[in-house]
Amino acid sequence: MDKGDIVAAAGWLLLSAFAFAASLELGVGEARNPGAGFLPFWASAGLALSAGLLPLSAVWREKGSPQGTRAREKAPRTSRRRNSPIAVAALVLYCVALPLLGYLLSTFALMLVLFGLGETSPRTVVIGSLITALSSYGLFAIALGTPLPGGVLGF
Amino acid sequence: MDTFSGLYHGFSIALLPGNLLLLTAGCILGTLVGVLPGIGPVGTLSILLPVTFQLEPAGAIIMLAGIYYGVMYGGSITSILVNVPGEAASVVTCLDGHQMARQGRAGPALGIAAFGSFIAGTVGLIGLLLVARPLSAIALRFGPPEYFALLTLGFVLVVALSRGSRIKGLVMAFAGLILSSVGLDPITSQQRMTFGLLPLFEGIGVAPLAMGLFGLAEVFRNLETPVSGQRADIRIGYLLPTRRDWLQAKWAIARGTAAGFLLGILPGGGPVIASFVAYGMEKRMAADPGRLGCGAIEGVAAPESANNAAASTSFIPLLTLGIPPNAVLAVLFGAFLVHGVLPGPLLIRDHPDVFWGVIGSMYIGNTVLLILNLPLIPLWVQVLRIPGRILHPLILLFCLVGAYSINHAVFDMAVMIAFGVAGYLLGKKGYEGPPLILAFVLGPLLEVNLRRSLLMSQGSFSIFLTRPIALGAILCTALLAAAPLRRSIRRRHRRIPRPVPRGGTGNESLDKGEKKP
Repeated sequence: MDKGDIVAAAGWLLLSAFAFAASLELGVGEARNPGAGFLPFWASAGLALSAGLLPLSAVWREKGSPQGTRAREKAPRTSRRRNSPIAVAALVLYCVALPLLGYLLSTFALMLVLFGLGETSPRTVVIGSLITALSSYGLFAIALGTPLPGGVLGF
Repeated sequence: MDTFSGLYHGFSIALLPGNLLLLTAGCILGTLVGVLPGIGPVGTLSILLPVTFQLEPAGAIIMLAGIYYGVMYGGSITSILVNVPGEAASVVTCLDGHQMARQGRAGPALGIAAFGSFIAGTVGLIGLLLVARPLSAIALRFGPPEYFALLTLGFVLVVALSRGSRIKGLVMAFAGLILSSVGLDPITSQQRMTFGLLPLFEGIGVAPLAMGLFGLAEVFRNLETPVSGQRADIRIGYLLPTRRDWLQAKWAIARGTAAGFLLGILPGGGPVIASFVAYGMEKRMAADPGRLGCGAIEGVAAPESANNAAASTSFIPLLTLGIPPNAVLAVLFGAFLVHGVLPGPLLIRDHPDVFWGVIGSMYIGNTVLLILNLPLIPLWVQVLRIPGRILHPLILLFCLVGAYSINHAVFDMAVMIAFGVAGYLLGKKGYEGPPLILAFVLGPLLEVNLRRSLLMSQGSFSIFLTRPIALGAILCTALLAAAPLRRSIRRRHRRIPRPVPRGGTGNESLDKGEKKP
């Protein structure tokens, strides 16, 4: 069982503890009159139990495999591995910037980052981002009538 | 309205110019995204869900059904041409389909996939038409205990049939149940786990959750994993299968259709399992099993027919009982809810336009796919050449705007990103999304029916054992839940006395080069 599995199991236990506490606060009720916390209570108990079984099943599997070891498949470490965290960070910043800067500016900035991940020339990235921001604004805001935030540009 | 007048009504709705246009657009969009390796049917439906937000319910569901069919067909094109399955149900199609393409027979492989899909899809629809009405009538007599027992059976089937670890499937299902209980309590309207946030009062939206868990997570994975496989430099040639091809494939289509028809109805079943079972059946029943895997047309016809028959019949539990049997239909269930339509036994009565319109559109959709897709194959080949560095940013932007357009709120975008990150990280550790989305969608139904059953019985759980349908479902659930334990005990039992052959590894069947589909 690797570190990631342990972190995942701990995360599940945390979620189940949170739901368990919330269900008690809401009131589990009794079988003849189940309360608002009834389902979260049993779901959190089930989650805690199954998350508790995760390390056991990993040990069981490792014991059962030849020579008591498991071949672990690891993704090769390439420069592309950092693409996902960068994309996630860009998306989070986009959520913050969208109401402030508006659709056109924030989308242009987002596309600069996302197209930039693809090892393309800076000129292509800038032109591609500009075209994407404008054409998507045309599609969503003008053609489909989606009210997108105007921000500093006001439209 | 009897079945035939209902079908006539359905055709008249589906053939309205606006709906026909939506259906055609859905089929083309579905095929377009289905062709792209790495984005499966759940991801495609999730990503394209916002396109339908501004449409009428009947038109929106017709379009989404078209997208579903399109994506199923698009997946087989990638499997055959570049040996990269567009979605899980096309994995086995790669085995013979790509071999046929390498032998210069890509055309007949694509042709038989299209014709087999059309025949199986049509048979599946006839089944849907014949079964849907009587089943809806029976389902009207179901009370909360029957529904609760059937939903529990569905959950266990989904976990039992998950491709990875069953315990991880169970974890995801319980997490889905917890997430489904966020919002107002369905019986007392008490706030649950909302943190006082107004957007959470109505619960977590199914669209941002599905778009994040399947759409965004898949794009994140693709961003760091370059799609391997051969680019589409294969000559397509003549598309129509020859007389010999038809003779070889006809029973494979029939068997695949039968397998898909039955497996599509079962909760937890669906196109993926149907295609694997159909290929396995073909391998067992073939006069020369050695041909399969080396470019046999039966190896394309059987799984493609099976997955399309299953795609049609999986609508039966959704439309009649309101129970989505797999993750794709769970997203579609969410789409029904977004449009204010509750699938289930009352659908025929309350929304006849949607019910019959969808069934009518499925017949037409099958024909549209056959007519449009064969001539458009060269275009799909070109789509395969679009580099990921352009495509993935565009998909991310589309998801963002789609999530925003649900309530015109950044909150939905944030929810989608959070589930995208969760789906990406959990996927790396072998957790699958389908049990979570199914539990999330079915959680409120499960809760309401459980609580109502307990109120009815004054808190006695025996209510689930005294009603025949509920008892049957509970017994099936218990048998299924016990199956892995029984298998594990049997395996351990066998392992002890089994003598290991001298110099053998115990894996001789694999050592001999037997291929696992």
